[in-house]
Amino acid sequence: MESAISVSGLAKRYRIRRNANGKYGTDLADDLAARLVDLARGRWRKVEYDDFWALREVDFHVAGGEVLGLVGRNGAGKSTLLKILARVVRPTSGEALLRGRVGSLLEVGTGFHQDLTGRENVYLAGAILGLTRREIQSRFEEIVEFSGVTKFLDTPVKRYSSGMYARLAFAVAAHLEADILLVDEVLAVGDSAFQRKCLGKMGDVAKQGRTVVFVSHSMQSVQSLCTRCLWLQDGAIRMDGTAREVADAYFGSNSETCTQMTWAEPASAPGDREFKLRSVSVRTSEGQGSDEPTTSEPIDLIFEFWNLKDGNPIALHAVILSDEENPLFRMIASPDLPAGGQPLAKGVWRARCRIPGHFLNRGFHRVQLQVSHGRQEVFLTLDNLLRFEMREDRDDRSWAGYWPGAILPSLEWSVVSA
Amino acid sequence: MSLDGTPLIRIRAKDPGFIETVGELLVTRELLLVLVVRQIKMRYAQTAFGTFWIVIQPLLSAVLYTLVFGLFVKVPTAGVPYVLFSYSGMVVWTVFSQGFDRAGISLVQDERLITKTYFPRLHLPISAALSVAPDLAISTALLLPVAWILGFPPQLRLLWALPAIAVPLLLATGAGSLVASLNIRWRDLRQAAPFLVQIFVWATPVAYPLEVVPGKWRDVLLFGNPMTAPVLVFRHAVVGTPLPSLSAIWVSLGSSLLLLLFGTMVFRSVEKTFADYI
Repeated sequence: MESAISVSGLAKRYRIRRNANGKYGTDLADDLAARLVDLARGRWRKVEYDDFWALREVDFHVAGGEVLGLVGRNGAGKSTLLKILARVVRPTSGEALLRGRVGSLLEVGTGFHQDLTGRENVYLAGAILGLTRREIQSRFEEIVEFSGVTKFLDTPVKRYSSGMYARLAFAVAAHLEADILLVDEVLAVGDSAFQRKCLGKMGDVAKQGRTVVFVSHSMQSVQSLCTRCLWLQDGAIRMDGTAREVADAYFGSNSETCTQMTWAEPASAPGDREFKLRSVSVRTSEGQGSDEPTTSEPIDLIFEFWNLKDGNPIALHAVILSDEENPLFRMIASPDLPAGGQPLAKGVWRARCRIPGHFLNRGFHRVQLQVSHGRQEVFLTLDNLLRFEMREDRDDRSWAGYWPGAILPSLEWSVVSA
Repeated sequence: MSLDGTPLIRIRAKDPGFIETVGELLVTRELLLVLVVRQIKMRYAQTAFGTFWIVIQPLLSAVLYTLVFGLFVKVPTAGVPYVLFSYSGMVVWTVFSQGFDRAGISLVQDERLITKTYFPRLHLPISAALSVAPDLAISTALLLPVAWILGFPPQLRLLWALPAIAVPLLLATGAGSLVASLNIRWRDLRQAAPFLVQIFVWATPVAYPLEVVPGKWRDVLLFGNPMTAPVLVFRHAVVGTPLPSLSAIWVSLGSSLLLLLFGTMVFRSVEKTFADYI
């Protein structure tokens, strides 16, 4: 069978321009001024660039009907690859051939406009994503039913809750008539019931014999959806195999940890129109983060975020997962606290959550962040933010072997003669 | 398209050819219509006095001009009431200034579309320029009855209005595409462009008749400014003031097409980097 997607030697270079004072950025006025000064001194300076290869000569083929997962750490090139296939970004060299109608879902709500009603947005966003008017008309009922926002169809979407907004947006996208569907992390919205519904819908799409390329931070959803998986590392393919094989290698080989992530500005930060994550880190409560956490000490999870809507009743849920991405437990701030559902002023906030010592077991753990309004449904899920290792405590006099189990709490016993 | 009719998409570093680009624009013309509708809906979705603003902007300028040039300076307008004289010019001018303004910010305004989905990018400035259609329709719907009441009933010469509107649309699309693509890199342009348009209106016989301009400057305005001919032609269509020479009309049309070609060429050559810079 002919490949649905053939990629050969695909590479993408980003040039980061170094301006006059060696800093990054493209401020025209500063740039011109510095150049004029140079010119007056009789020098002509060439523009200097720093090169960053997001993708280095990638080759692969995808057969029609295959569901391909793309995994890898942040910055591994998976989103760049998807954006090139979606024709949003032009490659620096190489070629890709796609056979069939291509639908791309790089975010939830592409083409949605705040001031327009749900109904108007279904039509306009559908057309922008590549549906013809007739196709939208014939599927309108289906789309609305899938989203579950029938009652609010004639309300501007800016009055929707984040969850409703995400559901309607996904519903439009899920009804794309495409032979090849490119999907980036769009499942990171809504509550888990809706996520399951979306995963189910994607599974249906695959069963209809369409080709799907799916980028995800979550190995679990890749495993449940994909027939095949590409593991990208530093812009190159590290492994190509079944989802099972890649998952095993990915979890097995990986001793790298990620204990801190920071985003400079809301535009590039993960989140949605109400909430953007600014930084996330795990620290031992004693030191300033460098020390390896040990099982006997408490650790702090610190989340900094931009609240973009005044009076937003943001509630944070920190979810700790095992390395295999099974959720272990969830921590929610008390509802009378900020970040537990109290209305927050617009601005930057920092939330800290402490996990006591003698609680987590040894080994790697992952951190997920979910966000809701008070006790309502979760409207945002950010997967795989951190991966940290709990080490055994060297000073602990107790036996230093490994006890299987997700947690190893120190609980109270009492023994009396009966 | 491949042999069996399924579309074949080839992604390469190279820019697509001119014919390929035009072909793609034509194939996706339904999307253009959708984007025009979206522009219009976006613009007036939350304004209670949407249509009111459309009428009030050119009308207010016309009233201002009437005060200054009609009452204070008393510019001769060959028997045409000054209000009608300047408002008819303002209607055409607004097609250009509004269309150019909207096309110029079209990419920056819809950056999410550019970074998240694919469609022929040129549709954005084109649809933004075309979104002046309701404004034009409403201001014309006001102009014609007023002209009639003041003694200028519609005549066959009204057909001249069509080419007189086409030229500002071409200009707005061409200049708008140019500014829109440069705006991505240098946002300063966003401030500068409307200001230049404000100045440019004085080089166009909107507020004054071309006849008051001294001899050699008259030719400069007529042949050097592609907006002069459309204003004169439109005014002829409505109130019957004399048409400019045919050569002036051709020069205006020709230079508008050249600007359109130049603007879209620049747009196409920087198009590939849009998503990288936004």
